[in-house]
Amino acid sequence: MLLILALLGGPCEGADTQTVRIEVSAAWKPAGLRLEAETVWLGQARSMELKDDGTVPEDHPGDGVYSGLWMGAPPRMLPLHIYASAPDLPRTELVGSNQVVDLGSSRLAWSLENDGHVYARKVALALPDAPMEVADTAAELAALGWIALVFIYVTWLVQRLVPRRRR
Amino acid sequence: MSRPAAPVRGADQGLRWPAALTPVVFLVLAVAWTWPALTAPGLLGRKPDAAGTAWFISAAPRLLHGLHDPLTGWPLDVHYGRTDSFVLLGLGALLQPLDPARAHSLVALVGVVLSAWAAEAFARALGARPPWSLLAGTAFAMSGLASTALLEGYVYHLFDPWLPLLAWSWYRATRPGGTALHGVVAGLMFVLCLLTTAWLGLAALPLVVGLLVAGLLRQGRATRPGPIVAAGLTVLLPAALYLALFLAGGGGGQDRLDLAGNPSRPFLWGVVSLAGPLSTVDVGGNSQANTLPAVALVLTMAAPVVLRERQGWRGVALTGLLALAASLTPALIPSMIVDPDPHGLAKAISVLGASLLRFPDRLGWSFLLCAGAVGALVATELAARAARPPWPLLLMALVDAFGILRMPWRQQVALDQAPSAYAAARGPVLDLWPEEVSTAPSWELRTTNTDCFYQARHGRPITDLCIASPTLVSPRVRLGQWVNGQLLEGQDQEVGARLGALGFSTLVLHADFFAEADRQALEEGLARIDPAPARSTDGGELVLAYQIPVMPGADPAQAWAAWAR
Repeated sequence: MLLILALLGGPCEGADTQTVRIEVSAAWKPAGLRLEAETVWLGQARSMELKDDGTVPEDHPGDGVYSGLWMGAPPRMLPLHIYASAPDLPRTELVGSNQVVDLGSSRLAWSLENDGHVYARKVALALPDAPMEVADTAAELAALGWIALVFIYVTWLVQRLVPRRRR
Repeated sequence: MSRPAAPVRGADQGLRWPAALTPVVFLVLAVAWTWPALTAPGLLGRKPDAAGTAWFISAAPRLLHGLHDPLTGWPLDVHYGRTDSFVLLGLGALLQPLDPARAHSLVALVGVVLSAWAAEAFARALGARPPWSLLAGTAFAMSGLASTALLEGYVYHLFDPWLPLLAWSWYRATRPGGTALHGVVAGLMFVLCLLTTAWLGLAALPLVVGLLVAGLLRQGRATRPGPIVAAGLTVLLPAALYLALFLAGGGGGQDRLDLAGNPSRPFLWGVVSLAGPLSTVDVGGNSQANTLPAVALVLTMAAPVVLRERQGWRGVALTGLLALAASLTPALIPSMIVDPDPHGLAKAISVLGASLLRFPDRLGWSFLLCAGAVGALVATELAARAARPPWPLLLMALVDAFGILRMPWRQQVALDQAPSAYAAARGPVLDLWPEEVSTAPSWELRTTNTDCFYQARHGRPITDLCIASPTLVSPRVRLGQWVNGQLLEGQDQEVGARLGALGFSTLVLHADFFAEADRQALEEGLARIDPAPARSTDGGELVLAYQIPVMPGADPAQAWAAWAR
């Protein structure tokens, strides 16, 4: 009954306030690095500087993750541009794409890369001082470890419960 | 089907499991796994397919009239022969009283429950007992493939009790004692798989072949052809009709994999994701992870030892392995077999290959079903012999479904409203988006499905093709390119006259996504057509709806034919 009641309603009003958190992890960090994000939020041009000084909620100062927070009525998708500049780096566009927003609270993360040219790679999480490959490898190792754990448990069960003559 | 070979003496003996408890358990698990489908705060899904599926549900009553939709593809009279899910067509018609976004969530939730329950029933038919038979349900309906369907938004893939019921009836039909009725039921279930989505029809093929071969090997000359013939006759006519509609709708599209626009991913990527989805799995254009459930996999590996004295499970296990091997088809094959200029049968095979090899991991559905059922049987046997039931196996199955797949934490919800500016007028709408810079199909898919979802809300005719129609270029994309170009060149009068002749009453500018200079130029040009456009920001974007002057006596279809020549 609860299921039916919950699903019978009309379109939802959605969240009143949307937060979009922009994060860039910068393992490569030239002196005087400045990161800026720009968007058009429901027709209104917005820009902000991404900071790593602890002024943005949940930011740990100096950990290499630059963050910024936008709030407002919920958008469906945001045209997003992120720029990097430094005394030795002319203003460079790192990101220029439309980003889908998760209703309520959305976290969009990139990793700043420099392999001869400077760019940003989209990642699931902006990790301080750790490339995403490390997180991926750790996740895969954990998944393989899980399979090994299940294997050990089932093997133990079989050895205990199935008579040797049947094996 | 088969009886336990060894006397049951374990702690499992005293366990009472009311039959009604099974669907209740699956309902509770499904509510958690598909969260927040139950509370439905918006449109469920990370990818644009969710919006397209919700539109399809809303359009079902119209599409039931000959697969034509007068409210999309304006001004073409489009026939959507390549409709992917006829089952969803029926469900959509039944769910019309519901809001389409909520119906979308409901299909996901109920689909998971029914699929899990059917897989559990197949495991019981093999000899598994509850609660261990529940392992088959979670392995099948809360698997990596299921999470992909849920996250990407094509939730009708989850509505698949048919594959387990096909396995059950086909297993019976190909064994001693099989009757023509078993064959007919198997045929019907295969047809329902095909009608749910062509992918599930393809996924059923390894199951059909594997169980048939296992049955023939077991029975030899004693095989009774009646059930098999009955199944074949049941499938024949619906499959032929389906194929005819598919071809009428443009078939598989590209007949070469390298032109299909979505080439197979590297073999190693597929193998790596068998253990668990990478952290970056949802970052790109899809959320594909064919992760295998560890408990079902390991228990199936133990089957030759634990089930040594049982019969009937080997064919099921080998069928699962066949499906697993098929699902790992590497991307090496196309370059070896695809004819650069195929004709006749070679072309048909090439079309099938180009379609199939785009997502070979979907063939793994049969593996999940077979491994889940055999695994449940092994767990039942182990529990029967243990002094204390091996409860950790059930907990481990939950870790597989929730922890390893990171469900439902990977799910996203999108705004499910449409901009109110659409309500300012009536008549056909042309949605104007910026053109995509890259060649990737995601922007066109995203904008098309957004337009279609809005259409489900505002109810006015739109130009987009809301179902893939490989032989047609989207009129919205084609016209949009022309309108963008004309407006940027200052030819606004030409735009107004042309759109009027094509029967449009409104041009909707999706202003947020244009570069600032382009947006200003477009707004200036359009202001000369309608100086006071309707404006809204309530649907998740700034939308400006410009009224197009009516052109008396216009024949939109003829005007389109003349313009698009």
